[in-house]
Amino acid sequence: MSTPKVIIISSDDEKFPVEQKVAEKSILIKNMINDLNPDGLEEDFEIPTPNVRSNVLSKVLEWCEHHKNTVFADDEDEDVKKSLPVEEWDKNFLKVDQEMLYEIILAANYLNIKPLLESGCKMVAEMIKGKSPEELRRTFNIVSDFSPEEEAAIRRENEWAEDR
Amino acid sequence: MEQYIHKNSKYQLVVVKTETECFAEGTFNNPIEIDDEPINDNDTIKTDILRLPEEVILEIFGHVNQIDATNIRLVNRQLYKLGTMKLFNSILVAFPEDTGLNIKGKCHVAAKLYSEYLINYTVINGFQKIARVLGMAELSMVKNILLYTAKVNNYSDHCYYYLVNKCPWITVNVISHSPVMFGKQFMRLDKISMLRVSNAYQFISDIPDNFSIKKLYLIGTQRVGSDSLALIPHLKALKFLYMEDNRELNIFNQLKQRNIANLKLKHLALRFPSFVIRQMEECFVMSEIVTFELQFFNQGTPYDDLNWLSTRMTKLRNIEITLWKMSFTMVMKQFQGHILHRIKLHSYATDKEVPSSQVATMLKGRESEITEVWATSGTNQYSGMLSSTLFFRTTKRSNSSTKQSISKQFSKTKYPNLNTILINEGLVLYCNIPP
Repeated sequence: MSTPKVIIISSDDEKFPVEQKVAEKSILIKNMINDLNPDGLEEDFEIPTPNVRSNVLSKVLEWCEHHKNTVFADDEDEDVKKSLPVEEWDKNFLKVDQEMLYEIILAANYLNIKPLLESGCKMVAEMIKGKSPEELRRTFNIVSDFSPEEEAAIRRENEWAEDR
Repeated sequence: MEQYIHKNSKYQLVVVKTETECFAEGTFNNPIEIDDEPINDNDTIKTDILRLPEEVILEIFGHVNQIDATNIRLVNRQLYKLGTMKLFNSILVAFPEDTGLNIKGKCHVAAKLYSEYLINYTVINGFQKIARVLGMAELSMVKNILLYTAKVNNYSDHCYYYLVNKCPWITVNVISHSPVMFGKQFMRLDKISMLRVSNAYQFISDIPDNFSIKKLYLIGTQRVGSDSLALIPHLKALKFLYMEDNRELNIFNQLKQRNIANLKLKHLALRFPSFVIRQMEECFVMSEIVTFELQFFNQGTPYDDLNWLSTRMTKLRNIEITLWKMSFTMVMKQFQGHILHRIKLHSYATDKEVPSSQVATMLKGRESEITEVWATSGTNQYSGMLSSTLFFRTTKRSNSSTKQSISKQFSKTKYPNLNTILINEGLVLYCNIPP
């Protein structure tokens, strides 16, 4: 008998059979597997992820597959993790359009895959660093809803934090 | 001291000179900034970030600095709100009024510098600025405040008193040289996350077990005053330990005498005249250490011992090494096989400048992993402590050809993650904050 698989089902009903180890990179899925199979997996186990579309899910699972043997530092080291650059493989993996990047971040958040969420957040932070408000609006396609007076008022407020 | 910085698609070079006789780092003159590349805006795509849940956006903002936060606030109403939360989450207040050094005691914030402190704190100067926050609705967003002051004076003391008594939701930490301020912190150990103990402080070392302190700085471990080392076993959440003493002593024996063994730390700094490196193992779990600082005040360049360290510190990511006339190449050789993100090397007792070509050689094979490099030399042994320098001032453009050549040599294409590079420093001062 072959090892039972975890079958993850996307919102558009596509089925992704993966190794248990790969699926368990998602803490949400890991907990579901453990809660519903207290004696371990005996047969294929289906898990629907109604929030994640197939194009995104396949991408997320590609990440899980690549990192199936990676041991990530424990949760407590927030400061340490913050100062690390995005790992080269993740960086290339996340070189996708903004739309997809947000979808991956949303999925990682929902599925509780912290290291992927972190890499995604760092990639977005890189797009913010050093940009003026106007450049930020262009980058993120956001239209200002401030009146010139309001904007001027915020600029005055900002002086509080601008000791250069 | 000269510092070169480049970040993102923009390059920025900063030259900062230090002054002597100042306790704080905010004493840099004549800063110069160069932007020699326009921002690349090809990544403009029709989509927006605002679909992400607020907590995710705030996590993203956790990686940018306060100047970015002020720009974020100007984008639109929703980002104003989230940028404000970022800006007020953690505040570091310096009190130039209390230092007695007037304006020169200020901390300056560089727009594109992403040091640990600048990512984690909004840095402001002066009582007036923090007093404004105390009267604002934003005070409710503040989670951490770090007060940074040499002496205790009316301003910092008043602020401390107010925060501790009126704002129980805020973690108030202090970096101060004052025994009075230390005493106040010591009275509420379970409410603070970092503690700085200097040599002359008097306190009882037999404290109840503590679960809130993560960072401990011990300056002068064996002098008059109380037994600061005896605090260590009680600090159950300790992740970061900095020990510095310019007196000759066997630190590991001292630790063992207090039954300190198998200490699991992420960040360990040992700055002593000298010690037997291989004894470290008797006190610390070597494989847990991510950031390691080593300084010998005495002569000696123990390359073999560094190699021994390197094989045992399997999680090592950042090093800071200050030794007598050391060879950078030899030091780096001992850390082959490690992925290192921050490398800070200082060779003292020499007037020879570090050639930038040597830094490039030193970084060979590490181009994509490196985020911060310091390669300095100088006659003063204390210069390694400039690493505690938190903030740098940036202002106008410069045309200096040296800086431009450095920015070319250490380009974003070749070193994609590099955000700070410092090669050489002329005048060096003892810089003790923090620790």
